Amino acid sequence: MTQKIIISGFGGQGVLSAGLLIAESAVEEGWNATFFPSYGAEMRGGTANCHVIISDSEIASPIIKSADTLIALNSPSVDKFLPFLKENGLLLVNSSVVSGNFDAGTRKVVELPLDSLALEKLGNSKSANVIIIGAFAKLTNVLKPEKIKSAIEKKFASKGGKIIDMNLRALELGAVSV
Amino acid sequence: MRKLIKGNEAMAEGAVIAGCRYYFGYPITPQNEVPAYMSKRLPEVGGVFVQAESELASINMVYGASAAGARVMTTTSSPGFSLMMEGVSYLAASRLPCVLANVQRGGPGLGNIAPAQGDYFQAVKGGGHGDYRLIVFAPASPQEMLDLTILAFELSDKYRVPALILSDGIIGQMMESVDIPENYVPGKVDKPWALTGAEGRSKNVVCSLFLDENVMQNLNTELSDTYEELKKSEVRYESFMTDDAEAVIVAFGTPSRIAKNAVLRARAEGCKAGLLRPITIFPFPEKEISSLIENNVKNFLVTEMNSGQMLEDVKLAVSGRSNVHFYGTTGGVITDEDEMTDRIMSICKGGSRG
Repeated sequence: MTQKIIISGFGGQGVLSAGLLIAESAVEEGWNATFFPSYGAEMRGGTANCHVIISDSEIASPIIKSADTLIALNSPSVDKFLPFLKENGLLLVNSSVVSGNFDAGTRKVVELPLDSLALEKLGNSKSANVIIIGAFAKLTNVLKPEKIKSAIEKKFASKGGKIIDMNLRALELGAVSV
Repeated sequence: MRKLIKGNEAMAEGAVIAGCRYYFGYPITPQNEVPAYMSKRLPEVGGVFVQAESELASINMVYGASAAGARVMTTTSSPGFSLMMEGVSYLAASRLPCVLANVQRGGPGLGNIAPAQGDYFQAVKGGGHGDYRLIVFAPASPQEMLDLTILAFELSDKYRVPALILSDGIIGQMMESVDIPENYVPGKVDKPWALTGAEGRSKNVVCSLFLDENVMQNLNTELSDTYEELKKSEVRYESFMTDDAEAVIVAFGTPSRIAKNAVLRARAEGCKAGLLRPITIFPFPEKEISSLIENNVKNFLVTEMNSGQMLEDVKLAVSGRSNVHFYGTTGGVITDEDEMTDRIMSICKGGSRG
């Protein structure tokens, strides 16, 4: 099993932390994981992205040429990375921000209004990025929810129970929304 | 302890584990996580972090700390390493142990911040002036960034030769699970030459100026002897599926990771491919290349993110006994797995594209 995921969005949308959480969850599972962030010369308003590969065998390059899943949190991310998504790949889109004007061809497209979901159901848009991880896990079945939960508990251990709880609810919300 | 960390952070933690308590550096992408980590970590263990005013200052601070007998490190990226060259030559001539790192980016010139391997020549053939070598390690994972940094400190102290971690932007920036040793005891190496205060003993002098040419020649001979010893005892490499291989990819750092997939894909198509991954690039695993040739390897495919630098060392080791092909990407462009697979496949089929 190898799953290659590109996550992309505006800086500040939690792109890198989402990628890291997926990688950390895979490590909880006992798998190999690589995480490669875009670094350096990103423009304000441009896209930040990361490449995450999780696998039960050795991972060659941490750079993804052909992704199984693209998580696009804004429109430029769809434009930039859709060509790197396999023809039977999964495109997860934040429809609060992304307009529907793209041609995903034969790929499976799942749209989730992350920002409004987060605001309405969690009262806070901060964990929108965790909602989409919940959706990703449900749709792909590659990560067990309890592993992601334990990764969240470790990641936010220093931030306290309230923050952990909010992120766990976001994870659950993502899973039931798809 | 197993932890998902960046290659740059793994290298920094490796230094701390090896007993490095002095770090001097000047920021440059893609290795800024090292000074960031050290600025936080070294004070926790009673060490000293100084952000120097330049690369020149950094390397000369390394000279000072090493002369005093300390385990010391600086890290930089390509243009920054060029700036350090004078100091590196002085360190080598003064036989001062230290660990340096170059997390390479695209060049030449100011270049860019993308991952590259264009500084191979500079790393293994000198770089600064005069007849000197460094012990050069080429990590291919965050785990090796940690492990080889620890080893670099030990070997540098043992041989009194500066060591260099020659990494690249991908290995530095990527995160992967790393086993962090918890009970490592740094080697205790006597440094009777160190400048520790001369009370009760005759004075020590650390310098690289020897006006008498015979004395200078003696130092050169001593250095050459040490480099020969390194070639005998400290060569490290990884062989992957080379036992029955007919065509072998030779690659270090990032391209060596990609090469493993290319080998597996070629094998699936019936091409007996293998990979030789030098872990030390000075000393270079030339004997291993010879034994591969004796083992029926007719073709080598050298793959680098430069225009063919390690290629020359492979050709020297092969000495015309087998064919040597090359696939390179430059300027920060990353080795393409499909292209590498095509090349090794076409070599297997006898229709080399060289």
